[in-house]
Amino acid sequence: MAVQQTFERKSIYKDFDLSFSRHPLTDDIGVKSDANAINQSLLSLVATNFYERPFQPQIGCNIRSLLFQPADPITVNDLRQAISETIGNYEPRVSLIDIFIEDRPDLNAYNLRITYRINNRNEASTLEVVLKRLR
Amino acid sequence: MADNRPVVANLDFQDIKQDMIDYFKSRPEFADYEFTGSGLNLLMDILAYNTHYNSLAANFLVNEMFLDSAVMRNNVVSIAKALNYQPRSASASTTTITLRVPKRTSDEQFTVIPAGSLFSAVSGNSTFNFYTTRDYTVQFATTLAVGQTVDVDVVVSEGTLITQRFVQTAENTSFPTFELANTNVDTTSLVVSVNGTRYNQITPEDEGIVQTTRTSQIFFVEETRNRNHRLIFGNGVIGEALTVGDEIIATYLVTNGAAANGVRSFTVTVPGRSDISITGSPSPSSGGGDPETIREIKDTAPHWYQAQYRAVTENDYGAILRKKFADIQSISVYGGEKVGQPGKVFVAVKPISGDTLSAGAKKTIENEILSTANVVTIRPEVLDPFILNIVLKTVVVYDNTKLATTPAVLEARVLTMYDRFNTTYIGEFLENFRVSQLSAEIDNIDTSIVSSNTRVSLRVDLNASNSRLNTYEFSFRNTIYHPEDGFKADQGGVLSSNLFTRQGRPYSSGFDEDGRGTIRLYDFIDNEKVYINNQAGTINYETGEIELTQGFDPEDGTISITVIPESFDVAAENDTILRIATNDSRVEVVEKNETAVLRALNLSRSA
Repeated sequence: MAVQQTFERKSIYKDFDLSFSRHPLTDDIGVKSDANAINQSLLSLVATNFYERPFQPQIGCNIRSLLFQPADPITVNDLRQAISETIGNYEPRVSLIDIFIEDRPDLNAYNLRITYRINNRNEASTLEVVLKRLR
Repeated sequence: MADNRPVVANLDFQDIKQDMIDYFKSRPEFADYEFTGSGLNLLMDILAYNTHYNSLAANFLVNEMFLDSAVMRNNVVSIAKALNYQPRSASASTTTITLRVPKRTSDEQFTVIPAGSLFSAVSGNSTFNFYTTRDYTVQFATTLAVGQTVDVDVVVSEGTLITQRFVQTAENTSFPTFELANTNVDTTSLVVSVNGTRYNQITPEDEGIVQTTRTSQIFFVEETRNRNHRLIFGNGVIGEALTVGDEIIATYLVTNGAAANGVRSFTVTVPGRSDISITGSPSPSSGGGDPETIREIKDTAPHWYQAQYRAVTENDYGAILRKKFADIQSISVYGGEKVGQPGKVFVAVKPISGDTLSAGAKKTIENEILSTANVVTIRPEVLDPFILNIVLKTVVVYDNTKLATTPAVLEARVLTMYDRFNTTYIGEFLENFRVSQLSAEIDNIDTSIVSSNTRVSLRVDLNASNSRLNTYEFSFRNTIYHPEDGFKADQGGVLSSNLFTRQGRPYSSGFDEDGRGTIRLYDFIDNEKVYINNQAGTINYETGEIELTQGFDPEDGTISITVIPESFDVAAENDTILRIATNDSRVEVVEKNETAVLRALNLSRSA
């Protein structure tokens, strides 16, 4: 008789939820795994400015100052360049497929979509975020 | 299995963070510690930053807890306080001025020169104010005619006289302290009165000596965190306590410290008395000093604690004097038994402001500072340093191909080095002259210098006035070169002097010796020595002692006696300070290929 075996794919990447959500049953802190963990990491990297992390001034992406530049193709290109460099430097778990940036003048914002593939996996993942300056 | 227990050994942020990551990543709950963007990595940042911050603060804190490692002055002062040591405040330069006070009316019996009388003084580009710190009363004899004068000595101190008023309040009763509003206060000048009654300043060491009771009218002085001083009054157990509403008047000098030392020129201003003038020339002001530095406090406080305010060992004398008398550059203390005078302690002091202390300063040290601390049967005696001049004749051989400048420049640089040598290697008590150090310094002057050879002579300068020398017996304190009896007797032996004149004589005279321990006096006539007295003194080659016979009637001036020592190195014992006589020292620079010149220069010691 053939034995059916089931395999649960074990998460490789496991991080806690930066929004500090609570697990409904165990009351533990919420966990993000794999693509979710990486999405959180990418967002965190993009949103970090230089000199924000103690003793590691080089970590971050110069997004904040670019959001104050004129909304033109040059700035979009600079944004793409900055995000690509940051991910290349600090997120070794992914291979970038595409960075799509769309100007949203009605919102004074950019739509950012990062498409990537987690190393050693086939499927692509996407992070979508609206970049908007606060002041 | 790898040992991933957290390490508690690192102070550096990165190391702390890595230690924590290494530990936590072995735990199964989470996995992303090593990825920069992860929330866990961010958490590690916060933990490592906090750990780093705390360990750094702990490190600073522990350093500041010990006298050796503390760097903040208020902490050094605080630790010194635990050793019962109060750092020396700035001290005002003082001098004594003689005033000539005329009698104005026939029935005038006395006049008062009040405390706070101004004596303005000029020194170089700076002007200083000196004040009397107490009243001086001048009495006139009834027989003294109007217009005739009486001389009075007044002690004046440099600074600005400040009076500050405090009132004891209800809030201040449990620990009554009052902070003086100025830095650079000379705390020895403090005069404090409470409701018109003068209070006495008590130092921690005095506390056990003077019997302080609950009614003693006393106050203490302490340095504050911001380098001012505060007055602390009694608590009703030690010293009388203040009551609310008490009025405290503090008068003190804010001084310029050492900057006002050496001032000689004064102008007097006694209010309402333009007829009072200064007579004679006051001795230059001395004793001014800056507040004790952190370095000095660290050096002195443990010694002071060890001495327990008593002068018993040689070190005790040094510690007490450095604490209580600011104008000291170098000090040497030795027991009288070392020089055949048991029962005495000799304290040789080289002040910062010159070569010797004034007679007044010596008296202050002997009678006011040391007499309260030393053993009763021992008599301290303050000596001037014995300056032993070293006259050098140096031949420097150089390589012309490597010389970037001229030989004259090379010569000047060697002479400049002599000046530097006087302050870096010698110039203080017990600092010996070592010719190898000098050679090394010469070699380092320029790469073109191939070698150097230095001949050393020792010179003592004697002062002649009123046909007498200031001393007829002295010692070079070093063995004098004497290879054989009669050595170079025909050339004057190893002792020589400058040419000086004697009362009523047309010729110059000088001293030399006969190589057998006797000093000869000669007249220098037609470039020849004509011996006048073959028994003009004795020389002890072994001990370096010289004794000149009195009665050769020198005219006023300086007589320099020079000898050749046995050793190239010169020892400085007891009260001796060595000093290279740069003006009389010679340097000859010779190119290395000038063999004829080199041969002609006698490089031996006996030249």
